[in-house]
Amino acid sequence: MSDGATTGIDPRFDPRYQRGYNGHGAAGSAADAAAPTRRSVASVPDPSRPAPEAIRSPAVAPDRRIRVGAPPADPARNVSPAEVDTPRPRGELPVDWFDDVGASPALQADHSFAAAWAVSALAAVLGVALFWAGVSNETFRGPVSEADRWLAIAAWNVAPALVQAGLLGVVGMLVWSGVRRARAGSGAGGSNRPPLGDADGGVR
Amino acid sequence: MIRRLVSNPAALVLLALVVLGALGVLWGIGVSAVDQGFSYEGQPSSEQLWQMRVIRIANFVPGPATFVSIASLLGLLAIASASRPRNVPPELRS
Repeated sequence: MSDGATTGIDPRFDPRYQRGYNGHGAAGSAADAAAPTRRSVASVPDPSRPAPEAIRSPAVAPDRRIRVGAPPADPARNVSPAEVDTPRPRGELPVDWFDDVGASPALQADHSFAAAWAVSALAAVLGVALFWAGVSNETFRGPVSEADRWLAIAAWNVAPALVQAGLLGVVGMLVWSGVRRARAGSGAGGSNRPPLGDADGGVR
Repeated sequence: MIRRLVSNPAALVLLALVVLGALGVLWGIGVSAVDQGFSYEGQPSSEQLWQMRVIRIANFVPGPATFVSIASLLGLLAIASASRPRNVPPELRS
């Protein structure tokens, strides 16, 4: 105790973290011997004590927060543009739920969208062709052969549904494209973004 | 809003579909209304066959044309609604 008082080392605490500790001397060696015990006791949290401010308070600088279990950031890693969170213009509502303007470029190359266009157009064209085949094959005396009879039945029963479904799909795709384009260009600032990805050749 | 609507190609296509649908309905109804049928003896001529085909088509067209015209008009209104400039209240601005 007297030695600690002369050297400035308080024996009640770990000397390694006190000013004047040089790692030698009786106080130092005694403190070193006792230090693990003190640390182990001190590391047990006391529920009656309030938690330290650094643990309780979330007011830690965002750049100093540590994500548990997260791998260390590698500055050499190439960050794709999709991972960069670009700031949204002030006053503009998020529209990502409705269109993929703010989504990654991979989503903009929407193959399902092109497939929907293809199915709609195919249904409409097939219906018109079937209807025309039935009409052009029709005579005043009715179907001549069995194949003509089947063609007439298909033309009058299937072709209208095909045409209507195809046209409805085309209209729906047009509405979808138009709304996406309108939402992309009707921000608060009225900024017109470039037309959405023409990667699939669709009208967007 | 009109300027944004006009600059939208999908809206222009839908507008064209509305007009074409209306014209198709009018044509189909007109051809069906003036059709009084015809008679023939022996083998029908090519002109008579074409007249029959046109009447068949005219009977077919008004239904899908009305459908497409109304659907396109609704889609046009939807695009017009989406083309409105959005007024974001200050408390929602980031």
